[in-house]
Amino acid sequence: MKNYQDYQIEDLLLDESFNRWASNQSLPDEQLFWQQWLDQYPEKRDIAEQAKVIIGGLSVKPYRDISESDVQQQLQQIQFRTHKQPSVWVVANRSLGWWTRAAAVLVLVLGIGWTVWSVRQSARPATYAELVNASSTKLIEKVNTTNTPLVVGLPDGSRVTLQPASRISFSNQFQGTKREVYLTGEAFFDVHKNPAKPFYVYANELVTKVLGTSFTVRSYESQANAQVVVRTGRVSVFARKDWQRAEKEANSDIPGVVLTPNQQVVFSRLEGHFRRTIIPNPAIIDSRFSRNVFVYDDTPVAQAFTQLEEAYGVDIVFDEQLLKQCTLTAKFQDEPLLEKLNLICQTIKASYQIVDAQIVISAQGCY
Amino acid sequence: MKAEQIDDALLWQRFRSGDSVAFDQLVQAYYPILFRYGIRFDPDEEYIKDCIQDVFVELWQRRQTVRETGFVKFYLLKSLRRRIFRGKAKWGTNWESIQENYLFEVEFSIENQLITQEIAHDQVRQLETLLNQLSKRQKEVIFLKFYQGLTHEQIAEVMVLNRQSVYNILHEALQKLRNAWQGDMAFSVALLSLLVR
Repeated sequence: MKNYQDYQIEDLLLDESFNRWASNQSLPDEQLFWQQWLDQYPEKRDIAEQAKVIIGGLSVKPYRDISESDVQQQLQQIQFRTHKQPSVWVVANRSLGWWTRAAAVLVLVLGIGWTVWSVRQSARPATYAELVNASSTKLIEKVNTTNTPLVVGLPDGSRVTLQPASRISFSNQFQGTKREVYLTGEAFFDVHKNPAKPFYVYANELVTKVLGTSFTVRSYESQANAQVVVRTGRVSVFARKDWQRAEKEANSDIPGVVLTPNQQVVFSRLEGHFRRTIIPNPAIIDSRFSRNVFVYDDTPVAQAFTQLEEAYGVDIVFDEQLLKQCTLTAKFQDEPLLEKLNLICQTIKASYQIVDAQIVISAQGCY
Repeated sequence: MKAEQIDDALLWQRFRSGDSVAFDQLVQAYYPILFRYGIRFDPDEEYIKDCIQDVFVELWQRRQTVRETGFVKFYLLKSLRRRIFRGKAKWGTNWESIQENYLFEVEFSIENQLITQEIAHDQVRQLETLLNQLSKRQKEVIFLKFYQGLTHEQIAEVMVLNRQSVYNILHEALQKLRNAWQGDMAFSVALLSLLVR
């Protein structure tokens, strides 16, 4: 049995039953008990009153809060990490001829792995929200909360097809010398050519600058790696921090990566570096090459390599002198590029490696 | 059980059976509460957001085995605190030192409308000052008890302490308040007892 007679204010504050009574949540017999207790020990009234003030009146001053839009954004990220998986890759429209005034680029920012927790403060990624907040101009935001792609018109007449759970921000008039958009999620861009005003896509730590004219962007946020994949056209990709430094110092020499068709870059957000490579299954980008032109009849192998370079827009590095004597008789059809290379290399007893988006042939020569 | 807790318990039940809509509702309802608690431990907003994400993702992954609870908030506060501290331990800070010397940013106030005639305004202000001079740990216990409405048992679980330690921390804190408060209050207490008599 507790000795209620000796109760001090701290005992009352600690007493869960008293707490319930003081905040009018007591059970019926507790109510009766505390009434009787006060009648029995009237000298305790003042401490009871004080305790009631603390229990009922104690509040916590608001410290830092989170905005509703931030919560929504976080919810989306949580959904993607739990029950809503990102949809599969969309393959870029390759019919370049149709957009003759334009080059087409497919940029994919695709995350792999979930090590966000380990991203240290120093390497903390820039987020879409931060970038948008930091923008000096007033931005319009379009959010696709539906399950189907949403077409958004940009002020310069360009069109963006925004995928579900994606956001894009841009100013209502592309004033100044740049056209800048901020993206999180996935989007397909069809941008009007205007060499006087280059087009920039800011997606987290990545800055993608379009040297060509028409392109496709698709990106996911909040993942450990970001990936940019180019199908057609030409883009430059930079790490945001390098970009910012270069802008500050008016330095035109930014360490970045220029991507040409069939190349991709994987950006590690953790380590902040790029790894450029060839996409797993390069497509033929030059429409002059149909599948039945890869027919070789005692053809010098160097010629076959050059043809593949043109057709797929890749760099094949080989020692012309060494391969001078090597010829090839073969007929290729639907084989992927890498398989074609495999077959050629087998024939001439060579091998290949992909180094920094170049295909390097190692051979001993033919005699 | 309060009405909101009953709603929560139902939501929790639906979530445990794999209902993703219920899960999203839980995230939306509790994200701000968790943020406002977590940010007190570390002003780095991105770190806290990452921790909260992890708490919910882990919750989803463990939905089959997660226990029945009538008090969702308590369960989530506990998970978040553990996640924040565990993350710091992974960064090389010693676990004991994290448990002992952590940040807990909180400022208490006493609402004016509750100040009755019996208790003078300055006394309440003085009480506020005292509350805010308590140790981080004492403040956190008070925060969880009087603000979040957790029981001593739940506070012990959240803070990874035994129940007796929680009681001792609270007792010590509140005693401090009394000792400092009573000196100045002697007069009014005497006055009060006269009136009451």
